Amino acid sequence: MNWVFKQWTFALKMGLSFLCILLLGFGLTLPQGAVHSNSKNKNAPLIPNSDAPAFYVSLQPSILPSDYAGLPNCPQKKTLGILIFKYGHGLDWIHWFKSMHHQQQLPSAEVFESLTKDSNLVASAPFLPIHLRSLKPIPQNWFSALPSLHFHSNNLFHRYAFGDSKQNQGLISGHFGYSLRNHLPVKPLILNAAKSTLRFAFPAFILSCMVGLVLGLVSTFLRFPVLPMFLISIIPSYVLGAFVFLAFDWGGSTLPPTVENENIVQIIKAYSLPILTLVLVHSSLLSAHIHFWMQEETKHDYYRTALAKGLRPLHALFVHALRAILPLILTFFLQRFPLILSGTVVVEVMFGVPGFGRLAWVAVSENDQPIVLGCMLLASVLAWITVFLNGLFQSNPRNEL
Amino acid sequence: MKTSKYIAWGWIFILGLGLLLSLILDLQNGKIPMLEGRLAPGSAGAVLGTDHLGRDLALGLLSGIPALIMFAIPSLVLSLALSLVSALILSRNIRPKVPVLSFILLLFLLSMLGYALSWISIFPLPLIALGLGLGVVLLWLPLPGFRLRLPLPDLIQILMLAVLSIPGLLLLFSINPSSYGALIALIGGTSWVATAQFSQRKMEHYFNSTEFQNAHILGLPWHRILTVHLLPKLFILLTPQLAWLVSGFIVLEGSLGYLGIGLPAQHWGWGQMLRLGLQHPDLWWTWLFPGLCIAATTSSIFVVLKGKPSS
Repeated sequence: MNWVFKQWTFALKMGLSFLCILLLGFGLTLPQGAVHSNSKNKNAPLIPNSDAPAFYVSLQPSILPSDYAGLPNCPQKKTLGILIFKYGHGLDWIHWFKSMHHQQQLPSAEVFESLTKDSNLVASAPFLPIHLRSLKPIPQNWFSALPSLHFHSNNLFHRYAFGDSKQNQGLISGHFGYSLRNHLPVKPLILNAAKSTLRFAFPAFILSCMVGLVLGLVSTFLRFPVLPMFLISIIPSYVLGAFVFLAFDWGGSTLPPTVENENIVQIIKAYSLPILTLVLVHSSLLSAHIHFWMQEETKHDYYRTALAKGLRPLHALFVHALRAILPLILTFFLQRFPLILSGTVVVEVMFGVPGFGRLAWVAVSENDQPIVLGCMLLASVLAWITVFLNGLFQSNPRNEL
Repeated sequence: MKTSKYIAWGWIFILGLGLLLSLILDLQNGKIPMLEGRLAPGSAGAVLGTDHLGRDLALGLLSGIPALIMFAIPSLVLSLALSLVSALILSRNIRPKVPVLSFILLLFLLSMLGYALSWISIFPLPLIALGLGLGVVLLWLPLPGFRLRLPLPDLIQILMLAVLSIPGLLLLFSINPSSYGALIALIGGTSWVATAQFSQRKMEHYFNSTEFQNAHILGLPWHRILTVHLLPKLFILLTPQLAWLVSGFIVLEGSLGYLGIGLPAQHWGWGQMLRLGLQHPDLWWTWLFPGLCIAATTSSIFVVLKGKPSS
């Protein structure tokens, strides 16, 4: 009963944490307000087709209509708030502001700001429609400045999560939306890219596990120092990849990894270098850990007793010590498993593999938010599942890393 | 082992000198003088050669050092602070008793502050609103004296699980932060979990020890126990953990620089130099030296920190 309660609590925590991931993912990866066409340059023109995307609650003076918070963040927005405060008719102002913004014909911030200083300027402003020009300042009450709380849900987040049409039924129905760049559905794009990644990352993972295991055991048996293995593991994949590329790509003998590589020779030629880089990165870390754990294990009494009783060192090491550290190795594998999808970005970009990480990288460069969100969600779900499995596995104190 | 340690300290000393030099020469953010032509290493005026645009490579490498330090140290401090606070809360199972009314008042004041500073409509507000809603619900519950025990350890555990499930690099370049502050906050906020788990285990061990029991019985104040007894011991135990953390930050900075996204526009680092160098593989020095610098720095920090006797 106690075990069931413990597992249930753990599952509840995992569920809540998953909710946190979703909220964090949506809250952080979706741009706030309108998107700048160049995210680094805040003066770049705004892309008009996005309203405030993340679901949010706004706190603003009660005189401002709730739509005000959904307007794109630009210098003119604050001035608009002052004008609404002064002249009332908030919805009319907002409707005009939205249409001008959509046509990218908003007056400059300085010109717009000058309207707040003199009501005659509003009456004569050529860019304002007649019904706004005829407005007179209203007496200001103190209670119109009181803050009021508004909840906004009908926005990009809402549409992304719950859909808005038959074509887009939302994430809740397993629909990831459409790419902003080429208007293709995101789900097949991501799944194809993930397939392409798994094509080389999964064999690389298996291979690095095997190589790491063998290297770790051999280095322990031969008493090699552990430091070089740790040092190789700490060298970043882009440096290792560069060295691998320039050491093994003699005269461009490897093929570019594309989806057209069909027969086994082509696949090996195309994916050998990314696989080699990943194997170097992962296997060195695993072998260093195995070496370290084995060294710790050989200090235990049972190991010394086994040797004193005349057991051969090879047998004592490979049968008894290895069995003792097996849970640690399994935990290590579980912890590294999500990296086969999300940890290959640099290698994919470096070797031009049309995979998951490269798709995310291109999508970020082109501000294609639905693809970025989809990639984040898929990678998070995979990581979340492995964390969950790891937690279950570690619920046994013997398996703790 | 000793030789590798001397080499590592030597490299860190060179980095320190490089930092001083880059500050003296005002080389931050890649302000590197251009030379004519693509010079090979050993040429007059360019010891390590020039890149494809004619920029001196040695000066380029020097100018990458301040960015590296500016990036790594604040991230480390933030990550450590977060991990120590959460480890303390978890190990002591701190559940502060807060009167519900003052809790709501605090949230209200926070939201007012946010309103006044006009950052309220972005990220923190959903959380504050959630807290406000929760506070209002709790107000209706028959709690003794309207006092609420904040379930901080549970919240931290949930947060830890959530952070563990987020792929760091992917998140970083998905958000593509435009300032150093945001970048450091993100890195610090996503890299504290392993250190927190480690510190929690060590703190639990310390709080169960006779040393702590004696200090507690003798009436030593908490701040003294923490600052004089616990933290110095913990920092010695944490040094090998810091080796992974600092090396990880350097690798991350290089990765983002290599990918060309997720860093402020003015940032100039070795990762960017490596990316530009690999676009011209025939100019071998343009990619080799930045690559070697990154490898040497991560390895040196690892050897120096991991080589402590406690490791």
